[in-house]
Amino acid sequence: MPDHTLPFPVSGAGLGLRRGLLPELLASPDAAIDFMEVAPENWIGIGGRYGRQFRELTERYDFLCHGLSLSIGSPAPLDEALVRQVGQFLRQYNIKAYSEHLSYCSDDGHLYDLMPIPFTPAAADYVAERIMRVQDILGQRLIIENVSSYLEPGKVMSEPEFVNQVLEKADCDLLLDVNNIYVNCVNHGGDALAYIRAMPTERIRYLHIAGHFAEADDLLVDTHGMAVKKEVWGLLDATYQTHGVIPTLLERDFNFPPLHELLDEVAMVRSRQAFWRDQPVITADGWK
Amino acid sequence: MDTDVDTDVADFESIQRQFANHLRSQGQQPAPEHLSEVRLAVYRELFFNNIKGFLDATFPVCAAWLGAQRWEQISRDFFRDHRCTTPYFAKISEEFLHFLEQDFQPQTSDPVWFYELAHYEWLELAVDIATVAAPPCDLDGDVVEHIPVAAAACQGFVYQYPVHRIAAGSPSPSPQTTALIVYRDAQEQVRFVETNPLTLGLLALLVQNPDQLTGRQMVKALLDTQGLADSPVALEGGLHMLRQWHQQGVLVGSQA
Repeated sequence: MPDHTLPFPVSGAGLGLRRGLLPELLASPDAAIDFMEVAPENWIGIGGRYGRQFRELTERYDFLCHGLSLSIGSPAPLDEALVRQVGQFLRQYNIKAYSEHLSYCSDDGHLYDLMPIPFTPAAADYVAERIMRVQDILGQRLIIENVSSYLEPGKVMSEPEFVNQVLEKADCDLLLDVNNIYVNCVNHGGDALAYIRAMPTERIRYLHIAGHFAEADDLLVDTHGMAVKKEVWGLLDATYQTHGVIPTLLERDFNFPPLHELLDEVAMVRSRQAFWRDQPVITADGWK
Repeated sequence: MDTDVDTDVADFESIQRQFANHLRSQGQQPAPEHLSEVRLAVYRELFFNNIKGFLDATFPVCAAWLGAQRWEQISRDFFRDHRCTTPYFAKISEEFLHFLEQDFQPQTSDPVWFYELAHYEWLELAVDIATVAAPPCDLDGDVVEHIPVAAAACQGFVYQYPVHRIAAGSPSPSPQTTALIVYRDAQEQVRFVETNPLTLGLLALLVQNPDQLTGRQMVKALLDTQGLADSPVALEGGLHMLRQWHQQGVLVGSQA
């Protein structure tokens, strides 16, 4: 298996926590979920019954934070107050790691959704500087996620090149979203397997998978509103085959089925992990 | 510095700002060059619908009363004209109130109580998620002779219209000074209790209570300020109010 110089923050197969899932999760003490993930911007400053229920789940499961509002690529100054509040939140709930999107969601105001950073060397430098600042403030490594997009404004290099440049310059870690790779390769043309193989094994801390919506043959929208597609399961296999078995989290943001259907998908992740744990790893250098 | 790099820096930043401006303006401002209009439209709708989802969830009565068309227009005006500074999603509705206070251009057909209703609907969310909790106290304690303890996030508000009675399809209310107490009860549910402005004075004293007065001392202090210090009827009325609040859950108990 490939070397991971840093340990994984969690292990196994996880599920993203959304408010819509709270009632069923609280009523299912034996749910087979190895870890969960929340957006800190949905839970910082939340008291009352939601705050209490969240604390209850953090005492039951390992948690990761997956931020939405850091706007790491924004032309606006870095929101250092937010970084500090996230840091406090991580400590308060014993959260195992913090990831954010390689994206921006604001200029002089928040737009609350992900916009594509132009893939240019200067943008990679700029984002890397900001990631380093976040890591300095937090005193821990930041995990950056490749995002889905429908347009690539100002692109002068490939997405895998851009991701690699940012990771190296910032010396930060990677949350590899397998669904986003598939979505982008359909939307912009690209070789998903080559993308996966181009990612640095030693920096991958965990994976995301999710369902998407086919708006047209050449346009997939990353809705997180349906079951994982078979092509994405195939790419998850390829990721395990290339980089070894990595903790993997299922994201579902709306259109929630009964919890057991999501747990079936989580179990599918787990069984693939079990399969690939016993297989040799194929890399560009051959079998290992 | 290498001039090529300088150009590149300027380029990517201006592209980012142009892209964001295009989405915020919902297509009124130009997008960066060479981008597919079909896909820009996908972004524009995703971004707007995301924000509208938050507004719909927090302000359902406003939305129903204004009608789908006007509500969507106001939501689009908010998205375009207001600069949200909060990174927190539950605070988008507070940004919407700021928008109504600062930049909103009402139409003559908009009800005059629109802002008050929006405030009332926001208040329900704000109290639901408030991080404060009621301090520990004796739940069966004497709220008259001991120090009364208010429920979590207990506050009073005075509206010019009976906002709590407005529902989808209800007739437009006439102006009527409306004093409401809002709080989160022991079952973590948000409750509203209608009262009167004088009684809100008692509640304000009670929630602050810097001098740790008992319920009786507080009622007397309030009556003093109203020139009613010698009225046994007024005193009894105030004490009765404290006991009633205890029964309703506005007060959770008392501290010795």
